[in-house]
Amino acid sequence: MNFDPTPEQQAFLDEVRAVVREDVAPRAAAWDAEAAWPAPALASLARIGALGVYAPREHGGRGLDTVSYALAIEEISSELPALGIAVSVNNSLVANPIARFGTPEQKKRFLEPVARGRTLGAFALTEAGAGSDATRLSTRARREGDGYVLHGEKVMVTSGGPAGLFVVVAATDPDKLGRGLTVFLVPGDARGVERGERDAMMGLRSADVRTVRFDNVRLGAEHRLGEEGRGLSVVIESLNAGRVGVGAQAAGIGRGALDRAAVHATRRRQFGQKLGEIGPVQQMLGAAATELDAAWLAVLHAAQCRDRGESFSADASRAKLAASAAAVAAADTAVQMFGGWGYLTATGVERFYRDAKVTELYEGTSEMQRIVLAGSLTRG
Amino acid sequence: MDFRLTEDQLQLQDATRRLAREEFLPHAARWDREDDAYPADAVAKLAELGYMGMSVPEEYGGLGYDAVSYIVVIEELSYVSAALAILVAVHNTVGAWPIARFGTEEQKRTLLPRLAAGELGAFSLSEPDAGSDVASLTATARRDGDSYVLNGAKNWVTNGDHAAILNVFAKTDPKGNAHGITGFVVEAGTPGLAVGKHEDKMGLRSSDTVSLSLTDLRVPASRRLGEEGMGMKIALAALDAGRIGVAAQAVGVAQAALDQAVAHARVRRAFGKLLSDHGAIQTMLAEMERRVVSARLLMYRAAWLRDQGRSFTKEAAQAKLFATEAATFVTHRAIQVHGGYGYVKEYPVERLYRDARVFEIYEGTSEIQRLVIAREILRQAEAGATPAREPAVPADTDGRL
Repeated sequence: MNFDPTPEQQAFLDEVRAVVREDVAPRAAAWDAEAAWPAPALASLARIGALGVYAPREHGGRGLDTVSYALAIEEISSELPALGIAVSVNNSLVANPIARFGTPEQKKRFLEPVARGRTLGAFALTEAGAGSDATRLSTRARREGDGYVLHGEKVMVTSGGPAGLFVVVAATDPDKLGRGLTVFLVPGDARGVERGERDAMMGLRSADVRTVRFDNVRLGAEHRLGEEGRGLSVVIESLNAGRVGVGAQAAGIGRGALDRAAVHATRRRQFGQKLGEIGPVQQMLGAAATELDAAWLAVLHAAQCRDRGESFSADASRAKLAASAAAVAAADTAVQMFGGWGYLTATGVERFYRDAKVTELYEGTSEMQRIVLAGSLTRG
Repeated sequence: MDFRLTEDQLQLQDATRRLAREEFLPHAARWDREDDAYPADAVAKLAELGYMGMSVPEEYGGLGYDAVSYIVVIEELSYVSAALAILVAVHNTVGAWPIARFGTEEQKRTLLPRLAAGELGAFSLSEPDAGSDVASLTATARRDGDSYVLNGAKNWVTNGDHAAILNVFAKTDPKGNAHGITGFVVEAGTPGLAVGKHEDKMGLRSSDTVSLSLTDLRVPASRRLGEEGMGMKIALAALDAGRIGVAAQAVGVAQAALDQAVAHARVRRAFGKLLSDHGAIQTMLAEMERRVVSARLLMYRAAWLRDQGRSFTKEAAQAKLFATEAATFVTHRAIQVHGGYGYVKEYPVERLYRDARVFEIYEGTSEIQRLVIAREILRQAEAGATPAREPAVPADTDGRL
């Protein structure tokens, strides 16, 4: 038993912290206010290998473990959660499935630039009519000659604008639902890839989320990731890892909010006392900090399960469920501790309040996580 | 980073689990239902196997367990009987441990082997008017030659009726607030020590909780625990350790309630399908499970930190707060999943629900835990350990702009 990071995990976390402190924190609030894409921060993170934390070294990754990945996403998200999700998606939903299911050629051509952060990856699964029920896709890929023609529209694609590579899930045999899905690697400059306007959002305002249309995109067979009809297992593996990332992002959001509130409570005085000496304030801070630690340990536990090669689907769902709830509560507590000042953009906590909510929604809503978790209990 | 138990700890968990489920579980409902059903046979068995000496160093006849091993045992005992678990936990953490940690060599040599052999230990700090607010104790200890004379009234003494050895706290300096408190090791049967009322409780019914009256109770100075005025420090140290033990009790009960709920949901049908196939039930089960798992991780973290010799005050408070709230939540939902069956004594979940309710109260209420946690967080923020960012709020608007 050891609750400390290994020297290797700690060394990487220290590198991430330095980048976050120097290249993310000073501009995070401005990026959010301007809904600006944080390209320089992404470049700094790419330099230390944070875009391919657990991708193999021989394919341009940092070759570390899932715990290191979670530590990085948590740290980044404590300053700029929108950056946290872009990095998480690139690691878990793009580099991860290529490393896991790709051919040697695909790893060379697609994984290496993504893991190095030269090409940003995006994951295109959700459609207007297929959210939690992800098997009823209307995006189709039909065989033509040696290759495929991909056609359909994907919505709410994270990093959809800057992405240079899309992992696209399409139905090759629609009647078979989940058994008829296939995954494709689609370069952003392929003919027929059309990006819509950026979505305006409640939070994660500097993230780039948009609709992407694939208009009869012709792809050679070398763009198919894994076997035809086996796409669901690619999706599940990717989302399991992604849920660890979203859990870490949520934990970072919670910490970012509570750290700010704690500092505020040591400075602000009312009724002749520091805020932190006032009973109701202590109660809410103690409660929120405990929920957050409980959730963060669940995230790290799920990461360790993945690193040991165990089945970790329920662990990932639990981690995301717990951490997203804790993040929403922590951000709410932080705003409450600031009082009216918390409602002002200048104090920096309302941003976390807005950002927190999405962690209960994407990569599987909390309701979906509970179904997965309950299923692991009752079908055992 | 690796949150798993060691091989030795896993073996201990397995052995304790088998013992608890095979030998104690069949009696747990009876212990709960019958008045004065003190589980003497179980205590004897536990003593025989060494469990009554978990907190006693090996050189004094105990097992000298680390904190993680200790909570593994408490969780397994609590899974079958929270009353048995609290008996063993109080005996070990606030009975034996303070003597092992703060006692003189003579005290350790004479008292610890007896405790390890199964003579029961207890801890007496609370008074009718002083619970969480320890500094306002009113029991007094007056020095008189080679001994002290204790007077006062104590209550909420777990194991108080069956204990052979009690750690009793009283003020040697009545005006000294917290700094005037001193601990004493008192033998049962000493003239002036009288067991009063037996509390009739909602849960933990086979664990005895009594009040004590101290009337010119004479304790030799050689049985003073630590120095004069050190009592608060000893009591708080014991309670820090005790909090991890309460977390373990809570996790054990919560796991039992979850297991009962899952088992029921897998066999009971409603509206043509199993309960486990109903979304409303799935929602409850998932929320129960995630709390149990996180509670156990928080508990392991606190115990591990303690074993590393590091500060664990905040983490112990977090473990106790989260685990005890989890037990409240999970036992409540376990009854809900059972419906009407959950409300009758034929099923174990109503006992779990009653037993769980005290966890948020004893060894520091949830309100005290949140206070402890917040103070630790604010202390770190004051020390500059928390990064300060947007300083956009007037720090002081207290009439002085």
